[in-house]
Amino acid sequence: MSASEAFSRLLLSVRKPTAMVSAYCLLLAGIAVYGLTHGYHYHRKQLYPRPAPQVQMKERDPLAPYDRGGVPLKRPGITVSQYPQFEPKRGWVTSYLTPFTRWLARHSRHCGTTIVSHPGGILDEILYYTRGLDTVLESSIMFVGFVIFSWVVRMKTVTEREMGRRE
Amino acid sequence: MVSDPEALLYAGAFMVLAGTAGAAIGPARSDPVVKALNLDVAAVGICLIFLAFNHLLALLTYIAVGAFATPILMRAILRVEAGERE
Amino acid sequence: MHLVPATVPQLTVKLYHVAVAAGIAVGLIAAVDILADRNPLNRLAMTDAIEIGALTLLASVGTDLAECLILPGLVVGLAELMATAEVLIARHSDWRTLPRFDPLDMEILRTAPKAIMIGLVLYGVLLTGFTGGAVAGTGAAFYIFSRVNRPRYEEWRGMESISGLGWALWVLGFSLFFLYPKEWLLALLLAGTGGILVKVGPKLSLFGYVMGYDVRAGSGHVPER
Repeated sequence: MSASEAFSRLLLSVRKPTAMVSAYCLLLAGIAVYGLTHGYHYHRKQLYPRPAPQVQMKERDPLAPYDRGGVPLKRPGITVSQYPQFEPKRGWVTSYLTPFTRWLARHSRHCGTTIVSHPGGILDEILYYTRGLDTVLESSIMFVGFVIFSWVVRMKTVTEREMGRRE
Repeated sequence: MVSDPEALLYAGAFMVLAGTAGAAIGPARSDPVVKALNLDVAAVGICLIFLAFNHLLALLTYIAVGAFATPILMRAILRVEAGERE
Repeated sequence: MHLVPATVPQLTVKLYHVAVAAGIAVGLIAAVDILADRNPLNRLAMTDAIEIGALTLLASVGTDLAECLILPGLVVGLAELMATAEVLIARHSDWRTLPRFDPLDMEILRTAPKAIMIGLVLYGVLLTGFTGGAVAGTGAAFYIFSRVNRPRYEEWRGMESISGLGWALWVLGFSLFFLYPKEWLLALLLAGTGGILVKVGPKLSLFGYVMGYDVRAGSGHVPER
């Protein structure tokens, strides 16, 4: 038996959706066992770092925990992105607050999450500007993976059942 | 008031592990409804983990989305089990 | 004031080691359970557990980027769960085996859902983005869940076109960011407010509408008060 024949037999043995799921989970379990038994390190030089948890809350910052500096429409905030040379308007979205949220920030210390997610905030900047197409790509990959999955499940099982009936 | 991130993280990690292990090898594991309820413990655990890392917007979104995940799961369980009984 | 540190703080690194171990262990347990049990309902539930493990892994990085990757993933993950459940239902049941319930007629179901819906929708509009869409959609769907008589399809037909309009606004905002970076404020308002909020919210509330047709009406029609 040649190598290519063995490979096609292997592919044939996982052609059913249930077997395919099992094969994938075996792979996943193998990776998980490897990950648990071997050490892992954290590289401390990351993109978009944030302060340690609870630090900004303890300083009674009204925008905690998403305060990244800057003054709305006057000074940009701090954004440590991957390709700063291609982003002339980096940091402006991070520092932007709508008039209503500016009022809220002045009068309340407990609505930080609400304030920064109302247009502006570091998350909007990352999602839409500095990593823009990544957002589209991530959702698209998930959608395509799902479309393939549901096509396999519906078509494969239906045609096999009907073929069995015809024989 | 608990605001120590480490305490929150250990509680969350324990709940995530306990919920998943309960769904996998716990009592009445063949009952899908019991399994879904066990997984809700794991869902609360991951909320605590988000809180420990200060991922507050992710936490809000997860709570809002989780309110849908449980009815969807329950609906699938109800319909499939009713179909099997026929 | 601690704004943005040069490197990731030591505390986050400490949390990272615990969270990664927990996430991998959850994934291992769930994968082995899917391998051992071939029941489709079991596999559907344990896929949820694998998602929890993956979210723990992602959250453990502890930077802003990690959180950004969680947000769209959650919404798409919900869509996938919905569609997988739909495939299972289509394969394993038919319309003759619908469960039969009598509609609950309780005072609290007539009064409370409206207040909760208004509160959640207002808060969702204030949040905007993926988060706001999910919160507002939860409010609208909760209102539809708890209505005694479900709205008819004709009353909700506009929802799909609103969702399509939101998608178009989102794409427009996205391209504005790249083509005319000077107009970042307009692009932000289009992408953040118009797009995602209108895109995610109607989908979730449509789901609440769909759920209603699953249950055969029981003894009779309960009049709206």
